[in-house]
Amino acid sequence: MTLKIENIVKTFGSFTAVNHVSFEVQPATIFGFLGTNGAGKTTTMRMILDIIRADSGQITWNGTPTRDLQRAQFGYLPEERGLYPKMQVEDQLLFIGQLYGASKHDVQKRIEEWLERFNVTENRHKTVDQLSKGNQQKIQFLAAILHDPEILIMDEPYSGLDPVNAQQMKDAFQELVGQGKTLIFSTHQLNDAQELSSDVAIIHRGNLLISGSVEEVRQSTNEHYLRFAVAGDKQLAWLDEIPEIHVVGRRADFVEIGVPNEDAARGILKTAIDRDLPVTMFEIDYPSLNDVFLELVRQMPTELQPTAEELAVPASVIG
Amino acid sequence: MFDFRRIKLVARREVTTRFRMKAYRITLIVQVIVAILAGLSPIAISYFTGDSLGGQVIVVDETNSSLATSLQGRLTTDIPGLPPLEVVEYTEGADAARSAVKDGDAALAVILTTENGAPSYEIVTSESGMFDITAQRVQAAIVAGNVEVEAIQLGVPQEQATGLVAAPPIVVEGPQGETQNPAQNFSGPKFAIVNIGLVLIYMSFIMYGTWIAQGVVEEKSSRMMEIMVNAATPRDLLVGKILGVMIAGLCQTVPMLLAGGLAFALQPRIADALGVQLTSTFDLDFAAISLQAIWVFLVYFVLGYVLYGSLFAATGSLVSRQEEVNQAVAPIMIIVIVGLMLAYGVMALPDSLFSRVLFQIPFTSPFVALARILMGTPDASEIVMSIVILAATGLVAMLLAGRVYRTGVLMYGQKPSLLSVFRLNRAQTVAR
Repeated sequence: MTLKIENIVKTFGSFTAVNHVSFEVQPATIFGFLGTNGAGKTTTMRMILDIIRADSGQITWNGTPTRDLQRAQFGYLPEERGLYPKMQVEDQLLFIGQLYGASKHDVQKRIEEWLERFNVTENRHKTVDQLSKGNQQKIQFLAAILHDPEILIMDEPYSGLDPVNAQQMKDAFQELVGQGKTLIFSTHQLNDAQELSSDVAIIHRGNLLISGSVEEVRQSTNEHYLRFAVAGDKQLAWLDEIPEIHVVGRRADFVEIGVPNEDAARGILKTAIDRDLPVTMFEIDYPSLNDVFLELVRQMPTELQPTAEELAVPASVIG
Repeated sequence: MFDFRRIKLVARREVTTRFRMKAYRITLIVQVIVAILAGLSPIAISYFTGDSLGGQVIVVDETNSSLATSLQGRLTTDIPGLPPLEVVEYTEGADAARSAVKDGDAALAVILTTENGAPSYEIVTSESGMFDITAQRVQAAIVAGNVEVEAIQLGVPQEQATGLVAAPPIVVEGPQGETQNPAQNFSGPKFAIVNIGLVLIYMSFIMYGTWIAQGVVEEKSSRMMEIMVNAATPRDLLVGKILGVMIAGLCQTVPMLLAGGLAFALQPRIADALGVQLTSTFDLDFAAISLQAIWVFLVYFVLGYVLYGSLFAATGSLVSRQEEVNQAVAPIMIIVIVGLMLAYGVMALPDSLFSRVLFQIPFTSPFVALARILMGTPDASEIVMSIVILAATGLVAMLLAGRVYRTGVLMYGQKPSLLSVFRLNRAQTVAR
């Protein structure tokens, strides 16, 4: 029961959207599919769903090409909202659930449960355009799961959600995984994935940079990150003089330092103590997924470096 | 090939969504009211024109010919659709006759004088305009009467003189050797039915077609389509949408037809109640509408609608915004309008080669079928072939539209072009 993406290629005219990408998604896990805007995430997801087809390569679920699977095995939450603006919430959910092939009775039962759970029961007879963006996104999520799919594919599921709603959504993800569902979600907010998923794949300009468990990916750069702070000195200029380490960034209340190993980090602590500095933060960690991504693209030729546009937060996420 | 459960779901959503739209309900009410008024319009027309169609014709004959008698004979006989006229010889002189018409005591006056020995006629009428039917009738009667009067003056006996201007019997033989009465063939219920059916087909194709195209664009712009094409095949979505819009549309059209038909059927009673004398022009025998008219209309309406609905759906899927819909569907609109125009040609010459060819072309056959079948004399084989061609083209259009639809709905912000769709379609090897 594995979703296998093997060597898929997709071109649109002369533009290669996805270039020989392969990764595997284990069943009953949450898989984070990461990359900047325009990296090829949505195209890959549409290929998994068989909305569009790869030029070459194949995608299989438990050995069967996904194009041969029943539509009802998939749930899909598109990046931009896909709901009828003028249709009532309950009618809409019933319609989509049944369109996927579920029985009216089952869909109705799940609607009751989930509306209750997401605290949106009072909105059931409202039209979608009367709802707040956060509530619209919840309804969009319900539209993807009410037919009880095995594989749930979500493109930027957090867009438009405030922290409270985002947490409700994350809890829902965990529950679905507990029921044995396989979840794949894309995001360009790499740290979202770090918190939620067990495995990730990072793609950039159609090319897979890395994939594996979150731990493996974070440890892949063979670097440790040290978050370090001293009372009364935010700059810590002396750090720049120490060989083998590099300052990744100076934040508001700490300095983030890349160190080759834990001994090098302890060396910094020792130096501070020798200088009699009041250390207020000393935290050794692996680089975040975001750091790994930035490190990986930093090693690439200049023309492959991400542009400001690619790193920008899309309007749909801000909203 | 089709998943009827999904088709039904999509169709039902289309219908219920329309029912809930205020614009839909208002249109329905307005259509029913207009249909009732149209059905009752003969009463109104009779009320306002009743006097001018009939009435008294006064004749001032200063030459002492037999004009009054001659007009009497011609104008008091019934002409189908027109009331008889009363002809009275007036002896108080031309000026008094003019005043009588002016005062409304008579509908019309005919004054006969001689000028240089030749008879000269003056018609005084209270009506103005080119549609003064009474004046036209009187003129025609005078022309015939004049021949008679002159003949008598030349010494032809009265009986033979009358025979000179009587219409001889004319028989018209049709292409199948059948006897036709041209007057009957080109008047009355058939003509009205073909016209009403034609206008309904034309309006329905344009209105429901636009609904379909707008619905597709709505789904595309709201990104609903991404979920829909994942949950069902584009073909099922398309068929469901076309069917749903048709049912919603018929729920507007059928009440309108029933209300209009009922009003028309009840008009003699309503006219009686209102004390209006219905002129016989509007006393059409609609019971004569054969079942043939109904099946021809239904078959060509449904099949033609499938063909044009598919075209509208495919076109809608090529654009991303509502503002672009009108521009995109313009070419289809033109085909529909041309179809309507050609149908009028077929009405005039229902058995011509022109009509027979248009009857086989699937894009025009829905428009010309009523005229060709009801007014002309097609063979059964010709009708079957026309229906088969139209049905086959509709099916092909639907399948093709499904493919264009699937590719088109995922093309955002790209220039709509059929070529690019087919290129993408091939590249994506879109199946399902």
